[in-house]
Amino acid sequence: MASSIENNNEKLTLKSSDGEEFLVEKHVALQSTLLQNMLDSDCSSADVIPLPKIDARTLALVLGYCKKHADASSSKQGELNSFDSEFLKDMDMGALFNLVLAANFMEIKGLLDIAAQKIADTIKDKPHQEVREIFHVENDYTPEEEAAVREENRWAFEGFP
Amino acid sequence: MARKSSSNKRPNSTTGGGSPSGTSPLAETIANNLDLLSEILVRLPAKSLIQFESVSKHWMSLISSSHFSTTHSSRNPSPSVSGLYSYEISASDNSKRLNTVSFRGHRNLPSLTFLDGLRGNNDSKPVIQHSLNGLILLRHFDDGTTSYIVCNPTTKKCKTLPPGCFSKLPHLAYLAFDPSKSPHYKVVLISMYCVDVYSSHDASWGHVFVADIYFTNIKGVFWNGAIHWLSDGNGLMRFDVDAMEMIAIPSPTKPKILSSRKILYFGECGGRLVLAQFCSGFPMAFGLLELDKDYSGWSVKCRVDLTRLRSEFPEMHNLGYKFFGFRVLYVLKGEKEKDFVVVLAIPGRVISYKLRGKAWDVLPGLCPSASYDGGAYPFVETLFPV
Repeated sequence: MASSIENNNEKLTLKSSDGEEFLVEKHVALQSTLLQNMLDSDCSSADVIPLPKIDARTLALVLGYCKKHADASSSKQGELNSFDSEFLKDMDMGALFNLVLAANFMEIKGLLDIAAQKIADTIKDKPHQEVREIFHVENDYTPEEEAAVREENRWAFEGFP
Repeated sequence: MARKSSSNKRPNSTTGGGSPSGTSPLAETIANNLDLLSEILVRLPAKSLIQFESVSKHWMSLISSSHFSTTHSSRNPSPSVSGLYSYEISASDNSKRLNTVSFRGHRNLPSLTFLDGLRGNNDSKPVIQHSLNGLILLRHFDDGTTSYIVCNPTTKKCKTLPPGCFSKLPHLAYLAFDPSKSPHYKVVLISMYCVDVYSSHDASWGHVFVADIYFTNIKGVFWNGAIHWLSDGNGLMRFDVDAMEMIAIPSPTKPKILSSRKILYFGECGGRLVLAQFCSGFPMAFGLLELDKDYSGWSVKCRVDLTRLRSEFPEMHNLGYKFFGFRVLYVLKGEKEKDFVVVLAIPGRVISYKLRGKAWDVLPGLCPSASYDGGAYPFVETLFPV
């Protein structure tokens, strides 16, 4: 990690799946364990690091998160928490799914945590039929089986259609 | 960070992948990635997960797997109590019927009718002995033999413990476990000279002999790795479950703990042991005390006067032989740090009484009769595997 502090001004270029390039300060990129491992093992000699699974819109969000958290040494935890909740506020499910996948791929644990938590908070009180649609899960229960599972757990469905 | 490309479309979080067709491959990628799906689902409360078992067979098998349920319960170690199980006693034939009290509006508690499958030859039913952190311990006396059953009402899973050589003497039975510390539970049976302990870790019983147990008839309470009892003469006993050791705790001099018939409640609340005892000379008032973490003494948190509540519910004048006009079923922390909520049984009703502001609600469910004996078993939702 010492090298990253010495070379604080070093920058690297990330390329999104849709071809957009982002110039990123190294200490910001180090929020990602994937990028850190690449830099440590010197796999980053290439000019541009392609991130084939992450589109530009998502990558911009991810890097915004990383920048805030990389620069956070001087700021307070409370400030970061309010940044996190503001960051995710009003984000729709598609954007959250993109973030979770990007955070998972780039190994950014903090971002994975808050995005997964936001998805959980959003679906927590939704009926299971709606959750099935949100995740595009195929219903492999027969109507009888589904009714039986539901009947067995009737207490958990209190107040649901 | 700077964008090199000339594209001027701004990242707009509110429209990202908004259309259903846009999210579909994404959603499928996540739903098919077991690690990622678990990462999301593990953050849901147990009750939502029980509902989402109806999403698909795949979700059902994930949610009910022992790996997922262990992870979920260790990451959600102390969900709040959502209600109580308690036995109503029929005035006509003294038979017991299990009912529930719901703390959160009309939310139901899981029914325990799935235990009916365990009924014995002579139609004997298992009876609840203790509940802790979402598990329930039942004793089943059938055809002259006693067996113990641990069940999780949330998941409807139960396990009959292997027969042990537990004492023929009368004994009390307790659960001991803390999902934040261990994925295993213990069952502790206490008789006059012997303590039998079942550990789910190696699925076997062990025992230890103990001398001179003098505790009152008030039920013991699991807290901080030990079961605690009030002993005669102002003191406490605790059985350290891991060390298998009975320890007497010297009694603090002040304030005085009254004799057991003046004690209305002994339990755990907000990470501390609490005790409710009558205020001398005031039949409708009691003090709520909290034990210091180092056992150095009790501190009086507040004095509760139910005179006003009685003027609202005059049936509290009508005392049955086991009632003082009310019973304390449960004490929990209120929304504010120093606030307490006391759950009271009064003839025909269960009331939650907020000490701050003296506000009350009638809770749905249980309807205590004059012969009601006040044993109440808190329920919390958990996936903890038995």
